[in-house]
Amino acid sequence: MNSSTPPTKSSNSKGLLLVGVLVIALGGGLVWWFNRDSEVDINSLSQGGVEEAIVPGSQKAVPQDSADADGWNTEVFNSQASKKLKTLGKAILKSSEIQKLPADFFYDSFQSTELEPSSGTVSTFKTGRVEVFHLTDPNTLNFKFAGKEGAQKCIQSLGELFKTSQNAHSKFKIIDVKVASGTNGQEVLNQAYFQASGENGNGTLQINATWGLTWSLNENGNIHQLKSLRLLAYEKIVTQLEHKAAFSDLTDALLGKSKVFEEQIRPGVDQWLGTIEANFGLDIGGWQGLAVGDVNNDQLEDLYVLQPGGLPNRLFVQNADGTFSETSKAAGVDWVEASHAGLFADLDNDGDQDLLTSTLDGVLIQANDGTGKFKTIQAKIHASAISYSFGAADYDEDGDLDIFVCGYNPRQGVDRHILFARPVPYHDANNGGRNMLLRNEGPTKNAPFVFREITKTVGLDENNKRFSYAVAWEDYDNDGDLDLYVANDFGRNNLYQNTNGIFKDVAPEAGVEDISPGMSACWGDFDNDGLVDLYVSNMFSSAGNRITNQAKFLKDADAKTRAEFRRHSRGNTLFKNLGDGKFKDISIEAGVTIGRWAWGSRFTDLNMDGLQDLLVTNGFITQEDTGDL
Amino acid sequence: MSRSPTGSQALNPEQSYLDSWSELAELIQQGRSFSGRERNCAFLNTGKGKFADVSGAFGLDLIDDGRTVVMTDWDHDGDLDFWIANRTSPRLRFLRNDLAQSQKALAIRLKGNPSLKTNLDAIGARVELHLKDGKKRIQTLYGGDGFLSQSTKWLHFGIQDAEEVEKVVVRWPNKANSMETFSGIQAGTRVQLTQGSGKAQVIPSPKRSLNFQHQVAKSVPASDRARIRFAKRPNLKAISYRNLEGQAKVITTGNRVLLINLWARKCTPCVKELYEFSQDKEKLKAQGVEILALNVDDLEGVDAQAQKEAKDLITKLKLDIPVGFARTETINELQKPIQGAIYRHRQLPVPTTFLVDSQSKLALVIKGATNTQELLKEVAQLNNLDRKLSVPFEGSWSRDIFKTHTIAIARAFLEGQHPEDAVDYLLKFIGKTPAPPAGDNSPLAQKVRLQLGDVYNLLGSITYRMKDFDKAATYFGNAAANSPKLLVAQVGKGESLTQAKRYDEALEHFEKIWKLKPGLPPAANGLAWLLATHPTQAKRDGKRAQQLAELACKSSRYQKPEPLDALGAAFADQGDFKNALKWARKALQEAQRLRLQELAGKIQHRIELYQSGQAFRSPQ
Repeated sequence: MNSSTPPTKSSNSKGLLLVGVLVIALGGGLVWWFNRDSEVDINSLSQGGVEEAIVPGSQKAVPQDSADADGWNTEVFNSQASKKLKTLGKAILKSSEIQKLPADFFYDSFQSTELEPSSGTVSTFKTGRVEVFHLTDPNTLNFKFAGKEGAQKCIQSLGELFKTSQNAHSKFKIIDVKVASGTNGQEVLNQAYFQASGENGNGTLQINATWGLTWSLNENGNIHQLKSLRLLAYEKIVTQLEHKAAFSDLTDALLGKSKVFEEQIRPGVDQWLGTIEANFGLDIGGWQGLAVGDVNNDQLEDLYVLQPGGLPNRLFVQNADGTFSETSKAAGVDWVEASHAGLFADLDNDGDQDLLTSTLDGVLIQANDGTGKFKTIQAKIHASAISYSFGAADYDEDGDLDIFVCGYNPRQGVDRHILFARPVPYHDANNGGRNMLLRNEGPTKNAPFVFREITKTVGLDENNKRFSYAVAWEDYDNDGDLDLYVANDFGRNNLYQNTNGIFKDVAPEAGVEDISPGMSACWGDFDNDGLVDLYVSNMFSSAGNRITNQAKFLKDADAKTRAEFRRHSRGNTLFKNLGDGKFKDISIEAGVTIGRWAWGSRFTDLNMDGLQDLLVTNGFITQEDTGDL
Repeated sequence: MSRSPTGSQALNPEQSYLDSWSELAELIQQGRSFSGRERNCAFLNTGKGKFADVSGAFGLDLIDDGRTVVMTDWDHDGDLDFWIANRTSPRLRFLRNDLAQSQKALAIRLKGNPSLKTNLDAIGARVELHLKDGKKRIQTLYGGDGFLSQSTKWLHFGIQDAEEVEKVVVRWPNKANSMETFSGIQAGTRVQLTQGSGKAQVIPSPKRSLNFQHQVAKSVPASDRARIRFAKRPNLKAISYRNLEGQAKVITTGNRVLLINLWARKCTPCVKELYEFSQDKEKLKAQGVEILALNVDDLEGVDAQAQKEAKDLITKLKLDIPVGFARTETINELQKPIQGAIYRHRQLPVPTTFLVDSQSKLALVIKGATNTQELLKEVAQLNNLDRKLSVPFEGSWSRDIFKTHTIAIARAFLEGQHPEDAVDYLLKFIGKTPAPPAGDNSPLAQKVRLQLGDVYNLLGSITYRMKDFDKAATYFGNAAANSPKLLVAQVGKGESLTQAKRYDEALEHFEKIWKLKPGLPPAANGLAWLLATHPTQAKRDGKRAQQLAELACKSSRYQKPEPLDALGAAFADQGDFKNALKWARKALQEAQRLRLQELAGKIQHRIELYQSGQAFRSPQ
């Protein structure tokens, strides 16, 4: 499929339907052609077809599993309660849906607190266009609604908020399941996060709440009726906006004219997984990043887009009118080999942005000729691991930039990118690929710069095989040199303290090991106390929370292992820098753990009020099938 | 249900983890979602150590499989806009910040001074913004952070309406340089701070009209249409099917190009395509292409009506090409090679066309409609095995531009102090490079042998340094076998055998080198040592050892510790301990000068032996 045949934008059978319709539409023109053989009327013979667009035997049904497959009865309850809550969520956002709730949804003597408290909330933040309200003391709430009629009123009073909303959506996540004996036999207790948001006439609205729920069981032991609802935590965000969106999606406006964007970047990874051989190093995870830099010194920032194996990396250069043109071929950066990260930095201090690219074939280093062209590879570093994120810093203070390169899986001759690592032991692995520090040795007669791998010499080979995804340099101890934090997927994270150019992993003493699967790390002084704090992306799994909280989980393991497993699915971590070389994990109090299955995350000041906020990208694998594993 | 690897309950968490991952990987490959449809999150810092989840309120709760987010002030209005990369469609989004409409944000760009040992980008510099009310905000310029991401090199400070800038202090990323203060900076501007200048230079925003409207970028589902030209063509030896009479048939591939077309009777493009193939039969035949068109309407062989309709259509179309019925096994046979090569092969649409080359390899699959012209083009390039033809879009291959030099890469690993990686890498090269058969003296064969010689030689010296002497002896031996003129490998083998305590073999080997290249100093040294210290008396010859050692010493101007040590040992073997001590002491001096601590220790031990009137014998 070269550029002569662009992939159709339509889906499976629809794509073929389109072809079919086209043939019929062109029929008039084709008659002349077919009429040469007057006995065959292809036009009529080919009419009325196309419903069988797929070879029937070729499609394998997506396998389904059942909630009890793993032997956790609480997971069965979770699955039953989740279904019911989904219906309830719909009813909250649309009052007409309340009538559609089954007559026996609520228990006869159902009781509930207010879900949208009429008193007890205070405004805790008001800056610019944003105001945040909190319920100060949920314990003061009484069961205000009772019986089936009360239930309806209770739901309606919450739904009132979204009555005129557009694009409203809600989501429940059950984080705790317990079985208890109640007044009428066994009952199931849930804790669930509830979130709902929508656009109103002059802004937006969001509710974040934690609910405690009690369910009755039927004679088969299945979740039956909702017995009670209690509001455990409540937060409301109100924005005032002139436009519809706080953040305008301008993707199509800025890139829509680019054929490269339409053909290659708009389709998801799944499209390419079905059409490009796995041997080109395509990964299912979509682990491809972005680098911003001004490649041609026109004061407008450009974007390098890394691509999976078989698709060329792309460089979008900003035009004077704010749109972007794709120039990767002319710029000499359209590498087809599977890539992960890119980095723009002036490696030879000549006033332009040079480029590093981590590919399955090695780390490529190219010098910019000053006009945004990167014609020659100055060096290709053959890393022993599959390279991920880059971090540049002049760790040895000699005036040029050195580069830290994260390594994930060891290479060992693997061309094919394997989906999952094989970490051993799972929660605390040390059999991954090696990270490396490349020291910039400055220019030689033949090259603008030369890099030398000095990982071991400077002490960075310590705890260095933990499937590293991300790196962030910072002077956390304010001693004037740059230290290094490394986020590891299957091992504790590293904090390498720099002392005169020699590094030591001080993560345990500093309290920043973070046993969870680390995907990303960034620094920022969120409390403006002059000490940089640390935010680490991990995996929040509500299933992991539900299961690891139970007594029977790993019941034969020691308490430490159990705690580590529990911590593993807790979510993202915010470490407050205490200034004495130690950090305090304040994630729960700060309310920043639930970044879901998080990848890139960063400190950034969203509303420019001088306080660093957080933005988290997440979601592992979404395919056509809706039944999530 | 949400499944997590922590859900395993076996007593051995590692094994059960690996097992459950394998199982999950398989389910994902078959199309299941795993923690999918999750919405991105945004947390607003509300002060006092608290954050509020504002994902929905800010419209940042995109449901994409988000991977990375980078900041850039695209419209130069002082606040931060975002690029987000996704796994799902669309894989890239741009979000303009319309929330923060503070007029007072301060954007700062830094310029370091390389002559003051600061990189020009000033990456790593710490910027302190001091406000008039005494408050301070800090930011550091990063060169990449987060997940696979790099943001703008401008630092953006949010400043509230009531706040005023006092000054900005920059701590350049070099301890030798003191902090530099920049004053006279106004909130709401964009400034460049150049190291050593002490003055802020205002950089005006480019004047341009950026009138673009919010429109959520659409997501497109994965399409089944594809043209897959296999880079590594899978085998497809035979295909079973039924002929129109329902008899089981097998068509074997090879010796000609076979075109297999799957069609359904009610599929419009199929009918058109079939008719065209039939019309163009001769054109295809002229290119050596044989056609087999298989109907897929009755894979179970139970629907007589469908069969009849298909046959009627064949008659009406006057098809003049071999036609038959595909059965379930036909589809399985055809899909198997695709499933092996393509990670996420979903299904086969009709029409689908297969081209099997004359070597019985599946070269091409076109999912969706095609035509004769396209197929003839494909057939014409069937002999071109360049893998570049197998990717959907043109691009550059770093492999082509940068030729891999095995020895250079291995040396880089060694330089990085990772000998084990160098060994792995060299062994990988050997695994991929079969030795040319004996008797093949073509220039290529000679080149490969020399390459192998170099690679084995390097392997030998690495393993020698890692003190794996038996392996080193084998590697050096292989090096010499491939590249007989590589004397350093010959000597290396002798030294390795000596260190491996295989003295007889070592002696024999050194004698062989001596015969091949009489007078070679390292061979003289190796022989001298063995003749002086061999544990078996019959093998020793102190006199000859002395002569050889003297030769080796002379050639190294009496400055190398090893031949001096051998000379000492030769005298000791002859009972001349006075001379033994003289040369051993000289050897010790040279070893210390060269900081060869281990050798120095051994020589020291020998000196003690000689002092007590004992010769040195190599340990068994």
